[in-house]
Amino acid sequence: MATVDLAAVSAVLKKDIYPALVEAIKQDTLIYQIAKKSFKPQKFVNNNFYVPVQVGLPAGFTSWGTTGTPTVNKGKVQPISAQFSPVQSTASFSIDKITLDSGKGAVIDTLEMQTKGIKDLMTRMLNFGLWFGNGSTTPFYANGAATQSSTTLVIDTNREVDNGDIDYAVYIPVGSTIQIGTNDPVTVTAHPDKNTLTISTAQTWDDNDAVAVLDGDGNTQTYLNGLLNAVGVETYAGIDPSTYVEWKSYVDSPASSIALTLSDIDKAHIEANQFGKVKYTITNKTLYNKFLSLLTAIRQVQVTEKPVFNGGWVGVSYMGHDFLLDYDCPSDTVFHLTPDDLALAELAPIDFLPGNEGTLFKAYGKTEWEAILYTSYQLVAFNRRSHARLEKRTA
Amino acid sequence: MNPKEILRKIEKSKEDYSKKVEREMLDRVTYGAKETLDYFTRREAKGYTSKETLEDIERAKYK
Repeated sequence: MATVDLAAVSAVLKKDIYPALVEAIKQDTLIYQIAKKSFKPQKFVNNNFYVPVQVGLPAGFTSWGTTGTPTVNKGKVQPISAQFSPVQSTASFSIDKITLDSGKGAVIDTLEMQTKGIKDLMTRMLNFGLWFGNGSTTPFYANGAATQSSTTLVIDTNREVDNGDIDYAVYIPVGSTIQIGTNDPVTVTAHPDKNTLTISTAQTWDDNDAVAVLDGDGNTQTYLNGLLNAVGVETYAGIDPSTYVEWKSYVDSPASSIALTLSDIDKAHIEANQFGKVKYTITNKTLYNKFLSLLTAIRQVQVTEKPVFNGGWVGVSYMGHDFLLDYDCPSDTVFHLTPDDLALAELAPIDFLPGNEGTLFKAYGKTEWEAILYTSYQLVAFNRRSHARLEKRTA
Repeated sequence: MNPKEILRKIEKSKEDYSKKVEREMLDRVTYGAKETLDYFTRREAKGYTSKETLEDIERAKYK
């Protein structure tokens, strides 16, 4: 059996796998469908980029008085810039010498299998970032303390409600290195149950200790500043709503969970529509089912025949826009989104990093080569008032 | 349609589309990889040893 040359594998990765993989990821990932893609960030300073946003009426001009030299209010009224930091996502292919020596059939099978795995991983991580990313390093927390040393870690996202439909553990793949609180790093060795991870070394921890995923250098990974932050009332992109009241969304968050109603959905939609054009309302399966029960009780409902997005999302038309289902949307939340005010800033579009053999790197200390798919990006909301969110809703 | 039927139709659309996207991706990978590796084999048989650029391969495949 003829050994397959590394240059040939590298060419396959770049010419055959790359375009097929990127197209599939983009079609199956809501962030690429929902946000403007033509947005190119500029004005970089210290790894941040800045976007002028409107937080009130435009300033227009500064009053200079009659003396020619301003004595008061000098340069105080000016456009406001929101500050964003790009985040990075990676996934890698690997191929070992035995596979290369086994010939073309084995190489093609391996690459095909890994293409599928990488597409699933990238899609999953991009979806998690869109819905749950908090722009920080710790979107996960320990659910319950381990007072005796334990290897079983149950995680959640520290939100007040139970996100029944989602298994957070899938976002920390087996093999990841994590840090619970200030403990020593440990490896995830298994995902035996929903929201549950098995770790390599028994440790103790407290309830709600942060769980950070580490990179190869031992640094904590930073997650996307996703929709839970962008459509919110807290400081976002460096601008505090207590300074600019316009820089916050309508968020209907009762003190404790309540049942979803059509009137609450309508109110949030109207609030957001005053400042934008809501095009999509999105929930996960539990609340979508509830919405349909409420809606079909009062009128006939037709499913949109043509997919709303490129990736096969259909829904029902409601109040002149599309009501859609996404499994990864937080279980207690309904989002109203104005896509014209959202952009995906791709600082480095998805691509292979250059390696020593084309796209391939020799893995350290192994007869194995690796190709790394990399992207650097951030979600940008230009306007927060044109989106709205209901939370703590139950079926 | 009742809510269950509507939900099933919505889920099925996404599932079918995701499967279609994946199938098309894997078909492209399998077919393209075979063609590219075959091309390298043919070149090797002719005695070429130098590494080529992707543009060379692209040109040769679609001649």
